[in-house]
Amino acid sequence: MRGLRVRRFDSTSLTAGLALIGLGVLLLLDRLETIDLRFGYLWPALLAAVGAILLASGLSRRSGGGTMKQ
Amino acid sequence: MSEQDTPNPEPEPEAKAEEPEGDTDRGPVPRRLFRSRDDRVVGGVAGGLGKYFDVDPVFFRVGFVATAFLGGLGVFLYLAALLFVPSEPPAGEEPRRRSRAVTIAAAALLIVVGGLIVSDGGWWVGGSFFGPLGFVLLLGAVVWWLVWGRSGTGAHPRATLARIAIVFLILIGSAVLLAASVWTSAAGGGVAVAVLVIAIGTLLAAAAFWGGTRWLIVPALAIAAGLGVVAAADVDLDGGYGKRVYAPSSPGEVRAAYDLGAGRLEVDLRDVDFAGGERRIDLEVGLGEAVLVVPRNVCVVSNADVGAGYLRVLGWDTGGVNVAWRDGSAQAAKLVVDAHVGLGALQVVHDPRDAMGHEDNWNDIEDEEDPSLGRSAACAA
Repeated sequence: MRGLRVRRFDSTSLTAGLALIGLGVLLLLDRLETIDLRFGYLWPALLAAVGAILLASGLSRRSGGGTMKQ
Repeated sequence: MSEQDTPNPEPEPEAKAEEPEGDTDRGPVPRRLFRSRDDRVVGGVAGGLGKYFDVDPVFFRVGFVATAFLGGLGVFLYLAALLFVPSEPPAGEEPRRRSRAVTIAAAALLIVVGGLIVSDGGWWVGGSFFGPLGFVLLLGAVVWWLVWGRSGTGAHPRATLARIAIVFLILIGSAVLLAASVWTSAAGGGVAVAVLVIAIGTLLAAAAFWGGTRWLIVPALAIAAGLGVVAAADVDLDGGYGKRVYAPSSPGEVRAAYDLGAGRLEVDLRDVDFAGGERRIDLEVGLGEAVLVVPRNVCVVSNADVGAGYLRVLGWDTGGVNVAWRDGSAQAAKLVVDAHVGLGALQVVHDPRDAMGHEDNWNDIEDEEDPSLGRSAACAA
């Protein structure tokens, strides 16, 4: 597991973290009855979160994922 | 870039994926999952899996067929594999890497589509269509991660299997977490669960600076999804659990509100004389079923909604997420019903045998109700 040895910045983790914070805030606001979440809003929000995480991992692999080239 | 401390240094990047015929010990050649070209029954998925894991593809074929009977799971998985696993390149050709531009474009499309639907807020499109689509895409992301993200270095098949086993464990654990999250949130711990999601998000974001903790992503999404279901369906477990049956015989016995946390709630109003004027009745079930039986000779006006599940009002029925029935004919109303079920089924009927889930009702429901579905015939009189 090379990736574990080379401790470098992981943009996937950052994006996932930020996406989760965003989702968490939405959910918290719903529970505090500031907003009223519906499925029509939530599914796409989850989709967008997954898409953002995929985008981050796709972009980060370009900058030297290191498995294919030396 | 990579250190040279591994026992088998990688070959030069020009090394092509060999044709596997007659050479089972392929060594550290980049191995990728392809749909097989020469061992193809439908789409080459089983053949490709067999080649990838050095196992007889028959095992995978049997697996797909067997799980096809689990609600079509096998068919679904096969279609997902067709969609996300690329076809094997012709002999001698460099395996065509899926272009990064395509990946990024697909991911960007996801975000744009998601954003559009959020801004539009149409529940039907959002719930019924993009719900399953979201599930397919999520599954596809997992497959994509397995196929393209990790297996480039010619890892041993068993190591790959072990990794898949770990992924499965994470997925099963996440399903358990999702259920726990639903239950905790519905029981009133939603704020705590939301704070937990934010905390994990903060941890992930912070950990990004010393290498990241990617395994946390899936369980955290599961916890968020569990709370999300509860938040979107407005599930509320106040009112206890179990089966409650009420059959009041006079207007005085009719409660203004019936509240059940989880289970089945049946309120039969057929013996009540509603001659005395307008009555209001509230029904609320967090998780489960509510059946309200109303007399035929009374004008009933219903405002009913279900977070996710099935809704049936006097012969008119629908299913899905955030479904609602609003009856506007309030003038002649003798009985005004306000009903909400978070997750489950809500039914307003004239005859308990019309209700889905009734012991006598094993067949499909026949729509023998009023000509104006969803409304009492008595309202027109």
